[in-house]
Amino acid sequence: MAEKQTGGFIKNSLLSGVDKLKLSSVYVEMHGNTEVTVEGCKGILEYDSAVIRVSVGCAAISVRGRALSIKCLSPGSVVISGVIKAIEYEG
Amino acid sequence: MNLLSIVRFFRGYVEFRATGSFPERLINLSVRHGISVYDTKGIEGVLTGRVPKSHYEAFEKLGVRCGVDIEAVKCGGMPFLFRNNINRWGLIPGVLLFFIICQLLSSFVWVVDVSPTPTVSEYKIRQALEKQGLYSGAWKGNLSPDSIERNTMLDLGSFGWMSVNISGAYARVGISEKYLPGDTKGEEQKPCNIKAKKDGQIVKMDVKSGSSVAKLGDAVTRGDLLVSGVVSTENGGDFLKPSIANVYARTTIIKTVEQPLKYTQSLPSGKTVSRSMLEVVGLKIPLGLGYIPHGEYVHHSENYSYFAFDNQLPINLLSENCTEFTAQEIVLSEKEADEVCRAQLTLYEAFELFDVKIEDKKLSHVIKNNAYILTAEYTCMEDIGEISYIGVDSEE
Repeated sequence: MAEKQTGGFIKNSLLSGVDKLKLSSVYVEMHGNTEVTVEGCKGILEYDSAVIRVSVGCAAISVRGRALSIKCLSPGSVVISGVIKAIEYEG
Repeated sequence: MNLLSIVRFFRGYVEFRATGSFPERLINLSVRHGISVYDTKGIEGVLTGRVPKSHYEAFEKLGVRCGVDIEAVKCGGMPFLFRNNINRWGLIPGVLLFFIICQLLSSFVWVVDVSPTPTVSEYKIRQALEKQGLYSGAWKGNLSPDSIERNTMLDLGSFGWMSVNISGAYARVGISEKYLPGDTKGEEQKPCNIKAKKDGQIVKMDVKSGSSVAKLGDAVTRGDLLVSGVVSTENGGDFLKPSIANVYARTTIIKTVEQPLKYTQSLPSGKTVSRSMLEVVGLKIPLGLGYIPHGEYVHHSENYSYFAFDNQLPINLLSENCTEFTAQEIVLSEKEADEVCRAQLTLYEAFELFDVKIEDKKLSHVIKNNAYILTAEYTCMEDIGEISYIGVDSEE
């Protein structure tokens, strides 16, 4: 549980001075329910087969589903594949 | 396997297992430091994945920085494969030998695929191609498809076109028959008469076109005009038209068959010799010690080709059977000779008189010069009409 708390601390510190979500620089693209591409990501906050949380600077995007994995990761974007059930915007 | 997988295989990889607090940070740091991490999976706080061999050292340092324990689970790819087998001295010469053999074998034609045509058998085509140097085991450097096509067509003739396509070790020979353009004016459209093709007495006339000249009951001889294509009009004029008619006449056919009562015939002695050969890439390997002795033998050979996934393999099984024939003197009694002659007549009726209605048959026999001669006199009813075109064209 310690790592989750650390992840949460980073998230909170990132969003501490922001009142309003500014997601206009983030581009999210879905291919059916099997693949999602997030451009403008700043890092991975949580990586599990059931949920992958991606930091987009001022907020976080959670991808929930089954057998999730990171197909491709580059400094500005991430491709998540698996059976996607939900995408949540947190902030 | 895509190109990326091949590149990764050649670069070598280390499969890792990362545990500790916040292993996701390890991924983020790796990306920022240009370390390619792939096939990652995060299950219950444990991160697994692969990094290229060359990046593993830097990856381990990042693990220490972010407080994650990294464990190398498996090493794979070409560098590790090479390092594990470096002490095997035969490996590199073996690989080199493999490529040399592949290169060497690919410079020969191993399979010649020929499609037979209705007029020329596959065996004849293969023989003609072999004369031009195209056979299983031929060196590709000596082959010129244009020359093979030209010379084979000259040799066999009667082909519309021929193509020889050599692709790898496979030579595909395509052959097409020559098709002559048909006459635009059908023969049945030309004005013609109907004449008698043999002697007989007319018993039935079925005239569809033309004016009949002969009548029922008339006795006609060969060449007599039966139906005329010159038709008179009511105005007194004449015009030509094609005659269409069936003229049936009672005819007489005499057929004589002869059977010597004593003769010599080559018959199988019962002795047979068989041998088989396996033809592998042009090399014939005998299977067994059988050989073909001298003497009068009838040779029968069969060639079995082997296929894999609809592709012919350069492996053939040649099976040869030789049956010995010896000259034997045969003496027939009159009864036996009569049976032979009657059988010949039966064949004659079946193949020569198949379109003739036989009304009566009278048989008589005589023995002359030690031969049994059987004469059959047939009374038949047949169509004796024969088309004779009226020469109106200048070239006719």
